[in-house]
Amino acid sequence: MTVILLFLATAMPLRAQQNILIEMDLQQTDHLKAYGVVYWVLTRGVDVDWLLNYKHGSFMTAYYPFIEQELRVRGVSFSVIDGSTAAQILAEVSSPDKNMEVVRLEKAPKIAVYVPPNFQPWDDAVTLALEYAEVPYDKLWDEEVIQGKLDEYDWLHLHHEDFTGQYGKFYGQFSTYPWYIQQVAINESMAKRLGFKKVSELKKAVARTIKEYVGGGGFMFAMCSATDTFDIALAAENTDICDVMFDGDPPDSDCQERLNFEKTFAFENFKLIMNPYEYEYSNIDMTPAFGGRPDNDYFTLFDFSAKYDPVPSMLTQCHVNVVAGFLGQTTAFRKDLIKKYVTILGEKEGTNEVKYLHGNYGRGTFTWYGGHDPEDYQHRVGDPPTDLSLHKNSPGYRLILNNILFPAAKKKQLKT
Amino acid sequence: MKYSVFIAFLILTGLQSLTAQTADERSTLRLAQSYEQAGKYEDALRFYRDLYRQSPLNSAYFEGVRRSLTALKRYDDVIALLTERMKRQTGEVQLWVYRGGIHLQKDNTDSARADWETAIGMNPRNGQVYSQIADQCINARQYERGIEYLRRGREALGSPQLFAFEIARASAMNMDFETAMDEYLNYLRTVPQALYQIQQQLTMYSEIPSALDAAVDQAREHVDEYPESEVLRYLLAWLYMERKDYASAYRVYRGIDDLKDAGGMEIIKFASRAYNDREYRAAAKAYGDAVEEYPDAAFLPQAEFYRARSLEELYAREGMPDELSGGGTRFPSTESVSSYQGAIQLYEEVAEKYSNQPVASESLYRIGYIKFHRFGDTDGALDVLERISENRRNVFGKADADILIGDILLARGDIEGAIAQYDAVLPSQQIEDQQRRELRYKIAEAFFFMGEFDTVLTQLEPLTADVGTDIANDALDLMALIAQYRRPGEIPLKRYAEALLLERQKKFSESAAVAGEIIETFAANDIADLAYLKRASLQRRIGKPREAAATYAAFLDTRDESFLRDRGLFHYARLQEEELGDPAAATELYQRLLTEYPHSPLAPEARERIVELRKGNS
Repeated sequence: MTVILLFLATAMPLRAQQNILIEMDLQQTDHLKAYGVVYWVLTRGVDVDWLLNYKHGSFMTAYYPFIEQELRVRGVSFSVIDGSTAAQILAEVSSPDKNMEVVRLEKAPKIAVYVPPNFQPWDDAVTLALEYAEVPYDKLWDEEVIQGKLDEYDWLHLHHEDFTGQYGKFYGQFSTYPWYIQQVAINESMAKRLGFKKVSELKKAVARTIKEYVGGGGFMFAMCSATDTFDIALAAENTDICDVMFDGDPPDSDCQERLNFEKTFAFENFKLIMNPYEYEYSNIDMTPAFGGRPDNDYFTLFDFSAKYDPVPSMLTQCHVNVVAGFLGQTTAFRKDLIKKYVTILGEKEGTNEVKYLHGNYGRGTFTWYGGHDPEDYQHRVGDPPTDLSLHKNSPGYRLILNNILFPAAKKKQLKT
Repeated sequence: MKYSVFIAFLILTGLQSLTAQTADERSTLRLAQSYEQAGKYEDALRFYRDLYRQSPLNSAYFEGVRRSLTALKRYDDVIALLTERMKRQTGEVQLWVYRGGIHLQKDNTDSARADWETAIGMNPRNGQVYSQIADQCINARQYERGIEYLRRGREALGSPQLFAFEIARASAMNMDFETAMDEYLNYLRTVPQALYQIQQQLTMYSEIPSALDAAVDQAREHVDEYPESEVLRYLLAWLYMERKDYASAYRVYRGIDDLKDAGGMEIIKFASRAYNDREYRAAAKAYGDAVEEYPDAAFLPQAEFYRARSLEELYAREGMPDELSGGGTRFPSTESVSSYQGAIQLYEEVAEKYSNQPVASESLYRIGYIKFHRFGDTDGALDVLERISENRRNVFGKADADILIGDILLARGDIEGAIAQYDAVLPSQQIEDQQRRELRYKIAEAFFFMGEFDTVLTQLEPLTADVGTDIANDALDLMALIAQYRRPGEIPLKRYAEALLLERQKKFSESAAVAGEIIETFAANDIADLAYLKRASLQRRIGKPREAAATYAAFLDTRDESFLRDRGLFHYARLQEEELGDPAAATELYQRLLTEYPHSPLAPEARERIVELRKGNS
């Protein structure tokens, strides 16, 4: 009888101990969809281990046929490994002399994207990434933010927004265009409806509400002009920086002196650009130092200790260290205007240009990324949308998707 | 003498100082303006103030001070400045308007109102005052207040259309599209030539669904109230078309036609617009009604032709419209779908009725096109096209009929005839470069069917120069086919070319039989892979899906080394999905493709199909 039992035990397949390894190195066929699959697995109640710095931030999860099928359908390459191989990998990652770490992802975060009513998903790099990776998200705008709906979400994304109330500073070029006129009408109507005398006052209130949300434990990710205009709006709480074409009256003549930098997240001592015809808000934004050409514009990601700094490590997981740059209304951040406690995640070496940064506020965090579209070097109004199926391995887009998984990590591991 | 010199001296120094003073002022003014343009209002103010002190009557200097103080939001100083000037220039209405505007900026609406009442009181019939007051309100985003003053001005001047555009724009900015539309419509009734201008204004908001809906509702009400106004109806029709509601737009055009007693011309105008917008259902209906209701109209030939054309396009897009069901034709069909018979009948009628007009040639061309492309009736098509006289062959300016004749000759197996026909058209000045390249490709293809592969390669080489064109891709495909499957003796490839020619001739059963022979006779040759896939696709086309499934299965079972297996899996899966109605089997085949050939160019499409099948969209 014992012999029979022993025989059965050795003959049984070890399916229960098998794992799926999704390698995120240069062999991966579709990095962006890999994040989507991981998100999908989390929604199915299965935990995923994020192996920081192991093969450029690979993922490992228990084997289930439905996961294998989904990986094939989405075109994400993977390996099925047995238990002992998995154990070896975990041992390697946990080894004290390896700059690697295991982060357990437990829960799919609830994602909100702040967008106006006439928004098109292809205008926004983050929604493009979410749509391509098949990660669901809700849309909300000023009304929902003011009404306190942000608390229902774990993660908030902002893209090409203007929290200063200057309509993106498109006035100089597009003031007679139908979309611009409609945008003004919609915003003014919303401001009036919510009881604000000016659009700029409404946007400042929205910025403050988002700040409270982050302080209460929310995760905020912003790109392009949503970054600097957010801080400008916070700093300009008690002053009018908008010219007459934006809000019906001139700006305060001493508005620069009345900026309160203590209220901002990331930037201080910045100088406003008051000319309403200039497509810039302040000197926070930096255009590339070497003339801004795709062939000479790159930024470098910093290395972090995966064991001691898991958060910035998660945010910088990538299969390349040097990432192609890209322009935006806010392309990069001036280094000497960044507050000391903000962590710089990526910058253009040898210059004053910071591309990617992260910081804490209260119980939450913010991560900001300069530029409009990582795979469209200079995206102009009216340009066709980027087709991410042609950029499945985009390092620039991968950085965005690191941010959606980061809130899924076990809470205790998020303390830096 | 001394006095003359002295007086002359005084005059000269006086003039000089006057000129110097003016030159100084000009420089200072320019400096002030430069500072103002640069947004340095404090500096601008300093210089403007100096100038104003020297010349308090100079309005340019006064305005400079006023503007600078306003830009600096020193509203109390602006009020003081204006008040002081009002004492000197009591009749200057503008000052009261400005001061009211400043009061409004300070949220002192009572003071603002008081100043504006004074301004109006100075001359209640001065329209400009009301407009300027409204500007102050609108700049301060107080649209309703601005509209209130504009309406007062309109009433005061007894001019009901005054400020229509201003009120409309302010209302639209306030998202009150009903009022905006009301203004435009009332204006349009009295100034019909403003139609285009109003359409331009409305396009500013046409992306906002509520705006377009409000515009349509208001326009409809106005049309009901003023049924005799043509221009209101034109606007309503235009709004419906903006909303892609062509059926409603057509009803409006019918009304216009009745109103103008236009004898169907308005209906034709609509039909033409709908046709150009590819709204073929609406176009067909309109053309059809015009034909039936106005049998003696001059537009009848075009209307009948385009009716048929619209129905033909509608069928191509959506399937059989009711109008095309049934109907006989003089021309027999071959083994193809015969659903275009109705269109042919209509074209035949046109060709018979208007034999001396261009529409006759156009109709015959369309019949020939349908007979050949849709029915595979080469004899019938040729018969029709040769009825088009020589001088009308250039039917739509592109040697259409001649090229089509070439295609038909090829399909009949008269390859040399087809080559001669294409060659004859090549030098024509009527055809564009793109068409010329297509003709060269057709000639190369004809040589391929004849098995003259060297000639094919020579003909195709120049077409591959511009790799961005579709023709270049087709040329490269054909060249690759020859390079891949050509063997000494070339018989397998020649047989395959025969199968392709039979397929071109729509002789699908015969083509499938030849493919079957290739599979049996040249099993060791790679061409057999192509033959399997071709045979299966032909079996599908002749409505034998089970035989096609068996062919695909046999291919996958026996041709392990073929590099076309991913294609076989994909098409087999499509067959299961589309014709055999077995989504589970289709999914399994797609998944097999993903598992066995993850790098196949068909993998992305296979993934998409799996996702669609999961959603239940087979």
